[in-house]
Amino acid sequence: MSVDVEQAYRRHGPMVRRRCQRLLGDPDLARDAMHDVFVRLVRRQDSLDDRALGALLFRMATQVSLTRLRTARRRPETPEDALVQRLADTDDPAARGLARAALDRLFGREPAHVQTLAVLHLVDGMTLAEVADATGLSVSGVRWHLRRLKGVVAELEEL
Amino acid sequence: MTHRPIPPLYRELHHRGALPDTVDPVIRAALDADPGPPPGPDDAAVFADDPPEVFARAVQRAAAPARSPAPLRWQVPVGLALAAAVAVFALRPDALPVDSEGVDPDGIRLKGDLPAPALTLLLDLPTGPLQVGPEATLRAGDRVQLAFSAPGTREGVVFSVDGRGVVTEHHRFDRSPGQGTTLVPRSYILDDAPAFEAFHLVVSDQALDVDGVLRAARARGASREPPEVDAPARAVTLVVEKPR
Repeated sequence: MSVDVEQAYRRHGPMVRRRCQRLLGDPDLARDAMHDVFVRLVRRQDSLDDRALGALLFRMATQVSLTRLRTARRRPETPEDALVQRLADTDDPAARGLARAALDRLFGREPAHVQTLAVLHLVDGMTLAEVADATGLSVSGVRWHLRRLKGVVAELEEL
Repeated sequence: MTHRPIPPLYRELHHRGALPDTVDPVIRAALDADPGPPPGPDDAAVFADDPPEVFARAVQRAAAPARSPAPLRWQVPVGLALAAAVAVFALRPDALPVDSEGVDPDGIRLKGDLPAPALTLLLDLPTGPLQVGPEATLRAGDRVQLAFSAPGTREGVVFSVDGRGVVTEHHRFDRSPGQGTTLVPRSYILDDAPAFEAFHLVVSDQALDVDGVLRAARARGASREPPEVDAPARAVTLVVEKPR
């Protein structure tokens, strides 16, 4: 697939921006994320299927935004809120280890595409079949990923 | 009419006249009955913020392989990055054992005789940022974020030297960064300089000739070694490998 960036942006850019803004809640962060989405699109153009570019960009916007949300939790712009800093500054090794383990499990080890599935289903209200259709997965595949994710969340709740 | 919320994807696709045939007829009917624009900035506002021609050029530039040393461009094989870094936290050399030659077991070299500052390198991976350890293997393309802590210091600089001997200043400060971890304001993408990238943090609790430190680094060229600094200045170096 060869991408004409300007054409793709004219057709789908506003959708990408709105999606990023809805998830990130900030226009400037959303613009930055939108830029990132199109950069990724260009870099991966040789391996992409252009049959549903709109849905693909929507999914990429979701994934990029989720990644940025996770990053912001770990690497916020405001140092006083920085989880990185709080983890680094805590004097309690046990607390630091526990916090790190929880973050790792919730944010670090779940692939971004699984989190995207979760948002499409749990936040956007898409059925499993619709998520499958939008992502190219099978319904059973979507169900399997989401069940697994729910298991991780349940485990974390027991910590 | 449906009581289901209309998924944002479908509202967007309907807005563009591209709703797939496979969409639930109930959703389609709901959208036809209420074809309001998707919430958020309208198309004109988006294009006013980022005009298509300008945006397309910026994206093409960002997507192209980097040729200049700054900003740096990195690409890190995810597997190696995961192997090199298991969590995100600020590595604090003062909490690590340091051997008699000033090299801690993880390879972060320390110079000077004051409490050690710390330099942290985080990789921006799709799964989130991950800390990169010394001697991790990197290559041109992905983004990294530097962070440091330097309690009790007053002035300092964070810079890098690549395998071509190019020196890039990432951050300098002329007042105390405080007790915690400071994030360098920008992230960087590694370019295609070969062999290695050495990141240095030089700090002092007195006036520091930052320009002199950088001049000395440029004069030395492609070197993995920590900068030579005179007490009370201190230096921390983190070297990552960049095989071709």
